[in-house]
Amino acid sequence: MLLGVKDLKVNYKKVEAVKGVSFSVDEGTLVSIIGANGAGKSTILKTLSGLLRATSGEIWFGDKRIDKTAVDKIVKMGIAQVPAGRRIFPQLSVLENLQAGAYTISKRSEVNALLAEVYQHFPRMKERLNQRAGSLSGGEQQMLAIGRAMMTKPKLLVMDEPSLGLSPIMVNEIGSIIKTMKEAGRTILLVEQNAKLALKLADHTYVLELGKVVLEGKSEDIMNNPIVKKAYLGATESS
Amino acid sequence: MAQIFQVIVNALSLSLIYILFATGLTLIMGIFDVCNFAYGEFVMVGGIATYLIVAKSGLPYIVAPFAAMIIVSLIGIIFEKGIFYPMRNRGGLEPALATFGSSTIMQTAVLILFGGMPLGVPSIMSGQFKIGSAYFPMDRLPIIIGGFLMITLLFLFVQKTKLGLAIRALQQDQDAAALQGMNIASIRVVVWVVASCLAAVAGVLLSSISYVSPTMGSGYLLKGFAVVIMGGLGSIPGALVGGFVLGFVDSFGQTYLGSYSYMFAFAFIMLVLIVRPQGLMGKR
Repeated sequence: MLLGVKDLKVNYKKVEAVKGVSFSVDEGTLVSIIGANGAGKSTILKTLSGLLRATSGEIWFGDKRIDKTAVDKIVKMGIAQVPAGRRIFPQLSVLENLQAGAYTISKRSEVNALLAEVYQHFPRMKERLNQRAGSLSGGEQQMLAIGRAMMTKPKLLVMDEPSLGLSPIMVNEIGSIIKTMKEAGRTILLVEQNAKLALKLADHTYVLELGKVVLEGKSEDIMNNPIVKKAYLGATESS
Repeated sequence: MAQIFQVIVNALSLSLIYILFATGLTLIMGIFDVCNFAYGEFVMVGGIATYLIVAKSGLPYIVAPFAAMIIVSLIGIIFEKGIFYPMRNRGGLEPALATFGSSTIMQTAVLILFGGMPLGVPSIMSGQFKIGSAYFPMDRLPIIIGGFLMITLLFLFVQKTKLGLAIRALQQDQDAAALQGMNIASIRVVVWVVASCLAAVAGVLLSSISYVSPTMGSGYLLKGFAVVIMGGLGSIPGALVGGFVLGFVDSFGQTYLGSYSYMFAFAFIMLVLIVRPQGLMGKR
């Protein structure tokens, strides 16, 4: 188990947004958390990265407890986050954004190796290295945000709604990028409102409702659950 | 012709002082979203340090900028740890008022320690250098060289180093910067040190051509804000352009319009802001 979250409770703006959530991510797997707006997904991820503090519960990364650890230390330990809404640095160039991702890495050769890896996944980034990141399209910005997270040399890549605000074609493209990364052996935690996309990609899925896990299991089982079909996958027929 | 040359030299040195002052101010305002009303006193402390080192102790001039940078940086770190960091989640007004109070405390402390009489510091260089029919006043030369040197160093630091990149990232998105593993608290301290060094050198250079007094920095605060706003809030290139514009408008105004120059300079800034409300280099 690479990441273990036990009975996590978090207040966000004085309201208990996460009410005792437990989940885990094994090395080399892709786990997804799906849920509607306001289910507590982003709150969980902010707590995971250290931007928010849990009121109770535990977060374990490998054999280290990290729920009181500072944000920058968590990144150094190997958890990278692709934040919701991408949050790239719009005034910096594409290359500078990637270099910002490699902030904790001091060896130049290592940075260059990581850059080469990012270019391999996103050849389009290489063509636009000197372009201002804010001038990229939404899909390209998402690619940059993923690339920037890869530059931290993570053991666990956490993605917060990578499909948000993208065209259906772009959603497919991002989906296939995530699939490639999984096949390359990366450990990924994917949080999505787009249940269809998440269930297609993930090995294991948790369904989050109003701050609680209401359902969990293999993605194919979740996919065939009638409640999930109705509430998240937009199935209309009662068959 | 000779007079115009003279005015240009004055304008250039005045611009550089404005630029040193305004880049530090814009750095702090851009990153912390707080007005630092005590920034003029950072310059004044730089002047006091110069007075103590050059006039009182008779040490060589070259010691003054280094000593001033260290002293003013320590004050900057006290501002960060005592005001800005503890109040970081309380909006812009509370820390701004705290800097306003600090400004008064610093002025009064200097008034008690050194008295209200203007303190003289000898010029770094004196005399004039004849170029054709025009004269170049040698006391402006250190300002022009020192000013350009500091701005070049600042530019290299911000554009070419990892810490500079972190500062620019922090300015745009603090949480996203933290998610790249940047230690926000220590980068904030670096920002203070950079801004403090700029103010300290401005104080050293300024005291070589005018008197040192408890209120020597406060006049620059208003003009500094004007340059920052004209250039675009948080923009270092903006402060650069804004500083040159104000320095030249101010110097030419003083020569050809006399005491109306102040009004003329601010009327010009108003005009700029009517045409470009985001400032010359501001991004909206």
